[in-house]
Amino acid sequence: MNYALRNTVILSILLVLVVLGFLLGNSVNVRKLNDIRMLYENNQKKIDDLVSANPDMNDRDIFIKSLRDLEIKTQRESKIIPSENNPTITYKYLLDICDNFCQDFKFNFVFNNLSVNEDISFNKYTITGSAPIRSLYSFIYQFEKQYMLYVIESIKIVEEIEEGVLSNNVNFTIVFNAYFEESIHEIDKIPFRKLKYKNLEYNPFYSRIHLPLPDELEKGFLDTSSAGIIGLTANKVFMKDKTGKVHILKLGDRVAYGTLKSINWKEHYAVFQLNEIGIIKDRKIYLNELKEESK
Amino acid sequence: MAKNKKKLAFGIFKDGLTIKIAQLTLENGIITIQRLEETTLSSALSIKESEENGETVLPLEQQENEIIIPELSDGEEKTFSLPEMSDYEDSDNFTDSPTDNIIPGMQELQNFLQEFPLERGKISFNADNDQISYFLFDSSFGTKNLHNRLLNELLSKKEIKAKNYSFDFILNPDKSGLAFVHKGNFNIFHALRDINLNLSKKKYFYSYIDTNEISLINIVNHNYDFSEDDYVLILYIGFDYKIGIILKNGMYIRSFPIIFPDTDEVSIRETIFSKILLEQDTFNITIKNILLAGDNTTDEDLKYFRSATQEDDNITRLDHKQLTVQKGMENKVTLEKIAKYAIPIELAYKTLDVKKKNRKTNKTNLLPNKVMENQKHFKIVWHGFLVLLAIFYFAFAGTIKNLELKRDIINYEKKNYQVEQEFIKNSDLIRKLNEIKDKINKLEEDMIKVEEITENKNQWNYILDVFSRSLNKNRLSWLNNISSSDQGFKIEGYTTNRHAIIVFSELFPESKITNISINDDDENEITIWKFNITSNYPDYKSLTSPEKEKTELEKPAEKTETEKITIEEVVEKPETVIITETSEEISKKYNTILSLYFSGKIDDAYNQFSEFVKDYPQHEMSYNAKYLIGECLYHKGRYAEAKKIFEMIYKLNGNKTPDALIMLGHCSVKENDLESAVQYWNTLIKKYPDNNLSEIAQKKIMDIKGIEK
Repeated sequence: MNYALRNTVILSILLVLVVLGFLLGNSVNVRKLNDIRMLYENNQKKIDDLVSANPDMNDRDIFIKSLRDLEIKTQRESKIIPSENNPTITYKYLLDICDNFCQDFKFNFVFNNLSVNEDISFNKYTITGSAPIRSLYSFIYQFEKQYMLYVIESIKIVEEIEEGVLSNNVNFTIVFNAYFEESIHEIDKIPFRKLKYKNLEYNPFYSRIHLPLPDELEKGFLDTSSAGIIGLTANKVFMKDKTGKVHILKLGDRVAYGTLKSINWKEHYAVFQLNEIGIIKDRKIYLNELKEESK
Repeated sequence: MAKNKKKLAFGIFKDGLTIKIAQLTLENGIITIQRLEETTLSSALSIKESEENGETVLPLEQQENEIIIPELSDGEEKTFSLPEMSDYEDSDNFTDSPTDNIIPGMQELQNFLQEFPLERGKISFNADNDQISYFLFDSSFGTKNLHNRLLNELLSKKEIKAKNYSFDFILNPDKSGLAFVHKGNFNIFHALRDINLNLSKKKYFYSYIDTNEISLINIVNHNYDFSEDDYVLILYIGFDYKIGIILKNGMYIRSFPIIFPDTDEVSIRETIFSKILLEQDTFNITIKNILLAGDNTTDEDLKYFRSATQEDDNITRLDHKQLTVQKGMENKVTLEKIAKYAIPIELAYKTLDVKKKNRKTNKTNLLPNKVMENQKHFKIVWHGFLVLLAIFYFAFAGTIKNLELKRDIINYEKKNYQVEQEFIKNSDLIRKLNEIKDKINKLEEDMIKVEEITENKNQWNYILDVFSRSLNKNRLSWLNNISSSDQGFKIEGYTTNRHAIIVFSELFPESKITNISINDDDENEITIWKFNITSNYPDYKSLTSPEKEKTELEKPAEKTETEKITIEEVVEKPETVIITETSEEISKKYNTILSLYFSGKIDDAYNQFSEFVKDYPQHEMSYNAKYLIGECLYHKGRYAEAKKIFEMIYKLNGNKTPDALIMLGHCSVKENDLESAVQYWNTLIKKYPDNNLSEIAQKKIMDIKGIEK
């Protein structure tokens, strides 16, 4: 074979090899490109799917705010279900409330029973006793507002009258449930919510109609119920008590349970404003006569 | 640079047993005869040749050892096997070569050739005339498929098929020409090959193998410019090679052998001249120019031919006019010697002639293609170039395509990486978002659960509070008993104002007065009404939460209340409950206090600003609140305290610093310290010349100066 022709043949083979080599190499690269393109498109689609499946993806700030608000609300208002409860825990908790918020609140404590309400367990307790209404109120306020899920099932508050004399105490009976759920993650120590101090504005059990309060202070003043007017002027009243002692009173002067309100010189009587049983009454006393008239 | 490179060429001419070598150099475009040598061999170069010459020649070794002449097979005799260059590299290939039986003539030739630096130049040699067949064709022969037709004229089909030949031809402008074919070994080539193998690592380079006729014609065409109509006779009389070649206008017309008896010189001359005359008469031509060359052309011969021809006839020695002679050799290289060495000189000259393309040089070459191609540095022809071009094209295109693909791959890899990162980021975001949602759901579930358990219970503090407030407004009423019932609670109470019972019955939803009875107090002469009311528990959702202080859990969160709470902080610390008022809430609170201040409620504003600063020390509005505390103190007439506040604000170097400076001045004026006031205001003017307050400060200073005056 002609040498040049042989070289041409060799070159042709080389050409074929080059072409094949490049075709092969390029086909590998084309395959690789297709693979990476497909991967890219798949990933792009995955992102699109992800975004379309999570349209609120960009609303995370809103969710964070919701979470924060919810957490705040939970912390402020909601209750925590503890993982455990028993009479000891409960009694200790009640004492903690007393120690922190109403130290003069005293009560009897009874563990009633363990019950299961649907999927949550609770222990039922009863506390009874007598306590100042404001202490009781503080206790109830803290008991109801604190984190622990204790729920007052029933309550009874009765005005306490000891030997016919009103006291500031009330008798109470509170039945409550202490809920717990074992599956809930245990919280090591549940602190007290720091609530703004709140007290009863007024004692609703305070009876305005009652027996005259035994007040030693009032004994120092003239008892108008046993005294009579022996003389009067336009500005003064002369009164004699049951011991015969004469008292000279001006308008506004203090008497037992009240003051001298007015003098009617023409009609010969004086009016005393008194509050012996919780209501304010005017007592009219005529000269030389122990005559009373209530308004 | 290329011109300065010295090139060497060797022309080797074999005429019978005589070997002539011409060594020419080309330097700076000038071809110079450097060396002319000859030797006469004692025997022919091949056995066949010897036999043809009637000689009995033994190979050298056999001669020395007196061994019987080997019988050569027919194949060896007939086969012309020109070695390829590649054969040189494999010594085994030479075991059967003709050199195994070294012939004395060959040995002598090798010895002679060794004297020349053949490896440094290019070698040309003549084809042995005995092995060449000629075919003269005229214009009627045609040029179509000329090569094959000429081959068929010169060789049998068997010879053509055997490929043991070298063929070439010259084609004249009139489409006539001379074809010639060489059959058999190139003995000189074998000799050169052996020398090359033994003496030089560098391969010899072979340029041409020409016939003697072609070389002689080339000499005339190079060096003479005869008239177009003149016939020119080249008369070469060598040892074995004696020929007359007739040319016209540089074209080969015919040639004729010169044969003369081995007699005296005069008879030989006469015989030759007679032959010339015979040729002229036979072909009816007149030869006016006779160029003599060869070993056997003497000055006497020249005289004879000049005397025998007409006076205007040009009878000269064949000369190489283009050549120069190396310095120092001018005396040795005479015209006669040049004529003797005409053919080897032409062989070397043809190799070196850089201008041969512009001359009438016959480009014939009997050197086998294999040898020529083997010597080429880059041995391809046009179709090879096409393929090479295609290779380059495909390589280039393939590389470009490959690079484009790789670029695309890299781009896609980058994009894919970004997408993957985005996907991871989004996934992470969504995961965290879901965690937040889960947390929200959990909180909501817990709240719902708690609400389901507590329902409307646990409102006793509210119920008692409502009764407390209501009874406070309706004195002479009191509760005796309050207790829970199935759906709510019931109360028992007393009042001296029975209208109050209506009020109590409207305190809670679904309240019903179940009983009202007179309970006379005869002793006190008043009427007391006993009443019983039942009520439902109020809807806890409708109740406003009682005001709360921040819890213990909320307080630690104050530190972060002015900071942006990131998703990570919330999500990654699930056990840490962050409770805080929002910054907006705090700002709102601040604005409320500010309204108090501007409405003239200085005391309230002072108290609440103080509380604000205490509650939200880290809040951005705390700074303003502190300043306003100073203003409150100023309005309250507590100038010394106000100054302390303003000093502090001044030192903080914030946006209220100019205000603090002007207020410090006012405080100083109130304290009758005008000097300090001016000092504060000057500081303000100096530090904040563009501030509106500076203008006020300037007026104040002027006022003070007016007062002082």
